[in-house]
Amino acid sequence: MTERKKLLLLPLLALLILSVFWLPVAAADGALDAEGKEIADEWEAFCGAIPDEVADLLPSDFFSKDMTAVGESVREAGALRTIFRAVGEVSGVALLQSLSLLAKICGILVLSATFRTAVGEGKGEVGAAVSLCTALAIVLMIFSGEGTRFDKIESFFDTVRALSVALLPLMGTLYAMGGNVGAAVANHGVMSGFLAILETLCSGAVVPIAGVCVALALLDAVSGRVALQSLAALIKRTFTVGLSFCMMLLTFVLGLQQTLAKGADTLALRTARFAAGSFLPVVGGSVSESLRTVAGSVEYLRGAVGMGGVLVVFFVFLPTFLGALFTRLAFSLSASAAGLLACRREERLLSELASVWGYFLAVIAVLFVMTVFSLTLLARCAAAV
Amino acid sequence: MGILQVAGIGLIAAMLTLLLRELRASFALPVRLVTTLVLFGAALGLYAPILSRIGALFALGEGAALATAVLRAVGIGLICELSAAFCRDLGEGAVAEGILLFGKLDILLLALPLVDELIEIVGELLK
Repeated sequence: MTERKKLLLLPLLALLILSVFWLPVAAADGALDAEGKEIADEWEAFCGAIPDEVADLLPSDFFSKDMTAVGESVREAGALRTIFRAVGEVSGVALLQSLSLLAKICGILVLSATFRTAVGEGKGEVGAAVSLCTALAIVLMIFSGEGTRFDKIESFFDTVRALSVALLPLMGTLYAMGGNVGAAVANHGVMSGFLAILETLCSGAVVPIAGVCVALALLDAVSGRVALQSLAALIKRTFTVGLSFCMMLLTFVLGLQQTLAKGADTLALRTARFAAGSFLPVVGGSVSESLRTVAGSVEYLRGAVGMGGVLVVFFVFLPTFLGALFTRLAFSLSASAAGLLACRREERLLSELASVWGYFLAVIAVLFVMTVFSLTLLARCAAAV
Repeated sequence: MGILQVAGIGLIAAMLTLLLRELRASFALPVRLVTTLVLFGAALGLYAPILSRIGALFALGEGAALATAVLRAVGIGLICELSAAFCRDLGEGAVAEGILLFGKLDILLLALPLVDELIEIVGELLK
């Protein structure tokens, strides 16, 4: 090849490399703004999926299109004081609702115990009929609010699904921007699996299984002769173990594939950077430098989006988790009170309800761990460039 | 009515019944009946504020209808048990059983709307 042809090819090659790495070059000029604009639509879609009650807990800049402002607001929202204030507010509301439930149940238990005290324990079948009546009243009183509580759990699953759906393109874009194409593919695959599990196992099965367990507990409490508690416990345990296993598998595959894909992406892009730096003496050096700038801004964006996502997920999970925790406590306390007042039928029913809420807690915790793990991987994943 | 009055009425009635059984057996029964009713009335006088307070608590928790059903069931249960005990004292075991059966069925009848409501809820849960 003649010197003239080489001179002609060099600008062409430089143009080609610049077109491949158009993003880094743009970032070198406009720093964070250019990358921020790239994910503005995905960020907006993600912010749109945040429920209003969670949005109230976040700073207004969190919903800005300027990613620098978003980063600052994430830092503000992640401050210990803000977190504790939110926990205080949410736990106050949840505690109040649970105390109201506890008071109502205790009222019925006192009535039942009053009758027992008046006529004597186990004196004939009239006592059993009154006990049945009070057990029914307890169940109805609980379930007059329980329907809405179960609905809240269902709507919580819908919210988590909407958030995950909104996070998927955002995470994919951020992975791809940092050159982690393999990681983006791996993350997308595993998160799609997570969404499928969320759709079928959680939204479709958690509440109906709880309904079956409660129905068995009702039969157990009303008949007083059929021991169905062990069957309900078996159903709950099997489901929780199955779901935990699925989530553990997803977490394992996500961690494994992300680590491998990150390594492969880094190797591929560093080779390209080395080639650019070696074969293009002047332009190649600037490309290499601009890639470092891009890597920094992409990592900043990932940190902001990842930690912002973790905060949103935390605020979404917090009311449901605390609500379930306090409801479980209210049922456990009521069951203890029923035991103290010698209301055996009511005690069995309340213990079973406490165990159903314990099962909800387990499912919520498993989902939280999975979602936070995927977001932490995003936030901690170094750019391949 | 305080505990001293109640205890006094009970003791006097017991002694009077014992005497009347020796002197005029036919008068013993009305004395026992009146004493039981007086004591039952006194007990109800004590229960009334407790029950009204519990009813008010239920009303606060939007469960006034349920409270009515439970209070009625408790009332039926108390009346049945006391009446049956009285009949048993008179040696009328069959009448006592009849009262208890009626009371039991009455309470179950009272619980039927609650059962219907419950079945509806369970149906919704299982959907």
